[in-house]
Amino acid sequence: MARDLTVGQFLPGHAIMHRLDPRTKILLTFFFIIQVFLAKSTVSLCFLIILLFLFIFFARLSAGKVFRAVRPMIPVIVFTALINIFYVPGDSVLHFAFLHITKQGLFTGFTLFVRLTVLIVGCSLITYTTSLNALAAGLEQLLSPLAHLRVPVSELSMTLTITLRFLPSLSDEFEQIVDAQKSRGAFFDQGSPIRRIKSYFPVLIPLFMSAFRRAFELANAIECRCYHGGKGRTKMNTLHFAGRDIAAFLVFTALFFLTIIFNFI
Amino acid sequence: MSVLIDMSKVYFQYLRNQSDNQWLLSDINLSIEKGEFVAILGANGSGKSTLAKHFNALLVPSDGKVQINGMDTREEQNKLQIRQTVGMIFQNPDNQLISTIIEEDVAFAPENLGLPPEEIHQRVDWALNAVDMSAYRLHTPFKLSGGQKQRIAIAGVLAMRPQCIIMDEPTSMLDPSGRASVLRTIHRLNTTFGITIVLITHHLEEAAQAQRILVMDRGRIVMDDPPESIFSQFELLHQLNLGIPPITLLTKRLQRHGIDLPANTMTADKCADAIIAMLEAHHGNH
Repeated sequence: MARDLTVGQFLPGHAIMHRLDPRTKILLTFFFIIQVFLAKSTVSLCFLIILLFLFIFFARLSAGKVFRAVRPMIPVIVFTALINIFYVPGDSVLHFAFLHITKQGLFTGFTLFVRLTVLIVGCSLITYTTSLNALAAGLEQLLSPLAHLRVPVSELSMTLTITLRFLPSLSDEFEQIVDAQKSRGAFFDQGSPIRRIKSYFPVLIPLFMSAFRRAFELANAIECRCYHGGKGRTKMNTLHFAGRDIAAFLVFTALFFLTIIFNFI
Repeated sequence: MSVLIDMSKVYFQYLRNQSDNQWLLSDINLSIEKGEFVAILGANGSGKSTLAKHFNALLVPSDGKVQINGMDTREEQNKLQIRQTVGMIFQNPDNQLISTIIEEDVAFAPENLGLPPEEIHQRVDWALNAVDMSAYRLHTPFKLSGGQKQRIAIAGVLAMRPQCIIMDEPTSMLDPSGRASVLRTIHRLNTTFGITIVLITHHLEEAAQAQRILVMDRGRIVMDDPPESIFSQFELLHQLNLGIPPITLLTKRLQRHGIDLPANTMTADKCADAIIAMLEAHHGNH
């Protein structure tokens, strides 16, 4: 169970969305976010929804699976939309005691609902189609010019890689310690919330101890393998943009302008 | 053969100048030659790991001198060259692997050395081949067995093309089959590639496979001999809290009952051969 953490939500595949360079996907996700916030009219919002389904199709993913990512966010989305329905002033449509529902309010609520849903689903697409390693490599290469400004890009990416590597180990260990404490008579799901939180201290302390021990051992091991910071380091695999990446940029630019044009219809 | 590791009058403790502290290492004089297969035996706390950490400048002596290929480990500018020459494998394979993809993990050391990508690819291919793990190139280490993970860790060190590999109890966390596969790999590195091996262990059976055994006790080297003569000093090994291998015990017992067996029977195979030879001779006489 814990092992699934390493892959995050990544679903391996060979669709076009999987094969794009991770840098392309990161940049286009940003592009898409801006696009979502620029869409103002009903037509352009509907256009976004159509786009979203097209993306899901090109990633060869099932729409149900993708929308499951939104599920935990539903209360937030609904709440934000409702607040806007009630609080935006304008032409009254419905009037009940101190509540006014306005035409403008309904429209803003609808806009926010669509925007937030599209945004979350759109961003989750990148994690479904890109492994965390590829994302880390993409980020490192995208940020590499910052190394000239003395931003420790290589060290940061090393930290990220090690974090991804050790998360499942630590989560396995967490389960083991919980089991060990349970077998010595500890209870984790009884009593008041404060009691429950307190009951986790005997788990966290050994977990921290072992994390430090691991860190020392790892430090020795990477020192033995000649790690001396990012200076003079090379990479075995460097990313290269392919024709499909350029095509993707062109398509996204076209879609971007279409969204803006649809704002005026 | 030329000397790879040379230690003279080495003393060590973590906090220097606290003279009432006991030395963790005292008066170590040692030289290991290229291509040797040396085992270091000792009970817990005898200083064997501390000694090993001096071989690649993870620790530097408080007093005395350690030279690797003539390079002094106390000189900061030698460190990278020394670590490239002498690689090290630790007990827990999980805490040595740094990537979620095996290929990337093996590439880590050559990347640190700043080699060009083609050369890194070549070295990764070669190292994975040498430990017989090429098929797992793009896998994640999580799903491998302990023995396989340890072999990946060995490949990660091999990719530096070291002349010597120090193994600090590499099999103590493995199951019997993983242990056998790691030991086979270690032997192959020594015989096929001529890599000097220093194997730290508290299993006498493992040590028996080396050409030379150093026995440590309370920070000192108390014996430095080939396995045959080490195992004949039965009483001393017992005093040092080292478990005697059952085969040695069997041989001793048979010898005590007047059965004539040679002294160098440390492995089950050798012992069986000796007994068979003896029985055949016996029956032949009648």
